[in-house]
Amino acid sequence: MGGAAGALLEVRDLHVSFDTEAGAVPAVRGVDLRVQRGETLAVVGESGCGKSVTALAILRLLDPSGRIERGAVRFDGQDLLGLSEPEMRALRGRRIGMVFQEPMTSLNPVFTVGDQIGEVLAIHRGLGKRERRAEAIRLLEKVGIPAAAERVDQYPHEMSGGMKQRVMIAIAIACEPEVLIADEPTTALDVTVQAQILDLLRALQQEMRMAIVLITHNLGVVAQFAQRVLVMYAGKIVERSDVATLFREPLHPYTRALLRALPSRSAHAERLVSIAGTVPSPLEYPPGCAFCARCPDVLPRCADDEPRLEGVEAGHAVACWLHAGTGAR
Amino acid sequence: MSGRWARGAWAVGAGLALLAGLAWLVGPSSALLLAAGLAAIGGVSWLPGRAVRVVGAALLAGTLFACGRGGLDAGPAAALALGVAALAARLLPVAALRRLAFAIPSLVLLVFVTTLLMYEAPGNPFAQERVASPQVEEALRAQYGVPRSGTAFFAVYMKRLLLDGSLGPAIKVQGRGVVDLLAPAVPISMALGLLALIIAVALGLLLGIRAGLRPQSAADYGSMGLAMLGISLPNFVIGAALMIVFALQLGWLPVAGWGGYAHLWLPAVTLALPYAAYIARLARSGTIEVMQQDFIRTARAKGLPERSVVLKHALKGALLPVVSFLGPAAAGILTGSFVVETLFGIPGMGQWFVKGALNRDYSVVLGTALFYATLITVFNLLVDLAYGWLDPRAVSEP
Ligand SMILES: Nc1ncnc2c1ncn2[C@@H]1O[C@H](COP(=O)(O)OP(=O)(O)OP(=O)(O)O)[C@@H](O)[C@H]1O
Ligand SMILES: [Mg+2]
Repeated sequence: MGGAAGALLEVRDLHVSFDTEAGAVPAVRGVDLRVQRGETLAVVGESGCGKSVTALAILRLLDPSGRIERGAVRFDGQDLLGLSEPEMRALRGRRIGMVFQEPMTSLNPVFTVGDQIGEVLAIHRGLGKRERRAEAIRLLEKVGIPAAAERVDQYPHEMSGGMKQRVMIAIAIACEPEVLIADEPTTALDVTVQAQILDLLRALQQEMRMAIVLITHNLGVVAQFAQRVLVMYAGKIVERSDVATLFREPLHPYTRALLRALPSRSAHAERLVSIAGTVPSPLEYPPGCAFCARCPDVLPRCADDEPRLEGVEAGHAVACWLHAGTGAR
Repeated sequence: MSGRWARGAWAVGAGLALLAGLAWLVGPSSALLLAAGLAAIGGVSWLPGRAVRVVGAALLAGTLFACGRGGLDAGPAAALALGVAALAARLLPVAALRRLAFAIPSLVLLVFVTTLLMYEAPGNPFAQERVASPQVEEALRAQYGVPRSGTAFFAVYMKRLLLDGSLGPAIKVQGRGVVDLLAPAVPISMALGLLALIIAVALGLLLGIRAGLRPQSAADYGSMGLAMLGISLPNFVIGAALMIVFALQLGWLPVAGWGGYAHLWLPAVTLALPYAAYIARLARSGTIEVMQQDFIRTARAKGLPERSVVLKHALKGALLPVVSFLGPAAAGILTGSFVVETLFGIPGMGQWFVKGALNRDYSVVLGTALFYATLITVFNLLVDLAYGWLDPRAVSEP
């Protein structure tokens, strides 16, 4: 793995919890991630494992009830958690773009898409009214929307889900960000549209040389798209690897289960992965490994002793007692 | 066991009960007329677009003719009415014409119901007249156009209204027409109502949005407590309290009576407070809901300052429930002004309405009722337009 100094975006030991009536929900419990310029990092895991919370914490967009309890977020040498709110705003949408999980509700229904793209252009690029419109049309064309000159004046409800997600992407890339965080950009869309959106992201990435953090629960997408992968479970990273190694030699029982659950025929490639058993609720994570109740290879110590993420070979790390001490570290 | 049948049976049952109640109250023939009128108005929602264009335009022509007759001869009035109506049939969207097709017959129905109710009330305009010989009363009834039956009066009234554009003579004020009587009162009442509405909306939005941005904060509890107070205190208590504090103690504003528009402040605030409170609650819940939407997060992820997130992205959504309430609020403020005008001695329409009702001056009562109803109808139309602007998803007919 590249040196830490070269990382464009780096998250270290991130802990996030939410205050709820049932108590503090520890949604993210010590996540580390590093993204180099221009690369694609995939973050994979079942629903509820803390992928979105991690992404929102990076941009400091958590709900008021969410608190970053510990950790550091560095972007291009700056400590994001230490920035003032105006400094943070200057980064959002300009140097770090984000595409959300729910294209249907992520656009404001009462403004035209042109208006909504234009806003970013006004605050970060200082464009005037006429220039904004022209630029919005250009961006819509860039994300593959036909008849962009007409679409620019439409409202979100006049567009399909895939089209809305393209608009979201247009907003996110309007200022040519260095990092694009794409939080399950295709989960809500149907299969053919998913492939188109992923192709679009890849094309844009190549053109603009931006780094992408691709959040997904589909390992099939990971294989096509990313260079490196983080596998998350219950708010933690359980395995970290480059893509080829992960598919060749998955180490964590959870990763293996994910791979087994992946249908081999691509027609069903986007079906939700399903693994026997249920994810434990964040309110009752066990003291040991959170996967132990579902793990086929569970050891006696797993329930009480928490394994740490340890390197087993260059660029491959796993948090599992089955592999503890096997690597060179 | 489908719920639709149960609901249908309910509706039929409720309709029959209503009809029976009406028949008992106003007599069977009037009740049937009333039911037919209601059914006809209800039927407008099922009319196809073409028919709506014709019906709406025809009704508009009738109304314009009546209005025009207030100042014009029959010929020019008819030409004007037909011209405008033809243009409207061409140019207006079906939705607007459908509204007209609802609203105009509703106003006629209002006149009918008010007439029936006035005739049900004991006494009549001539009952207190000293010389009450039957011949004299008959002569007076003929002169003022007040037959003995409600339905006959309705016919006389509507004919006069449609053909001459006249609201008739005031029965109890010698030698003056209802229009002359009400004309000086209209601007005063309009100013009062408008001022009250503006105060209600401005105050309500300010308190409600502030509270909604920070639910469960001190600002929230403070403004919602105030709102509870505003809703639960009756008009005359608020009015009296305001008079005591601002007029008697501080001497900033006149107590009551009329002498210029400065006299409108206290009554306007009195009228506005309960509605401000209600609007505050609506704006609060609207704000809370809209701030949880995904698009608010998108707006923040763009790097927008919080001020723009609220004022641009949240405001329109937060306004929607408030705008839907504006129609009923305006109606409530206008009718509420009857009491408040009397309380503060303001010479507006409300006083004529109260006087008219007490004197059984049928024409004056109908004139004020018609005026207020028209105002509310027009206002609701504007609210609809505003709603369409705020929410482009609100589907409209072509
Ligand atoms: N606003 C919130 N209040 C309370 N708990 C929250 C909140 N947001 C997230 N959580 C909790 O944090 C945990 C992680 O949520 P997160 O949205 O990051 O999951 P995810 O990995 O993105 O899942 P999905 O694939 O469904 O998007 C969940 O257990 C969730 O219940
Ligand atoms: Mg998520």
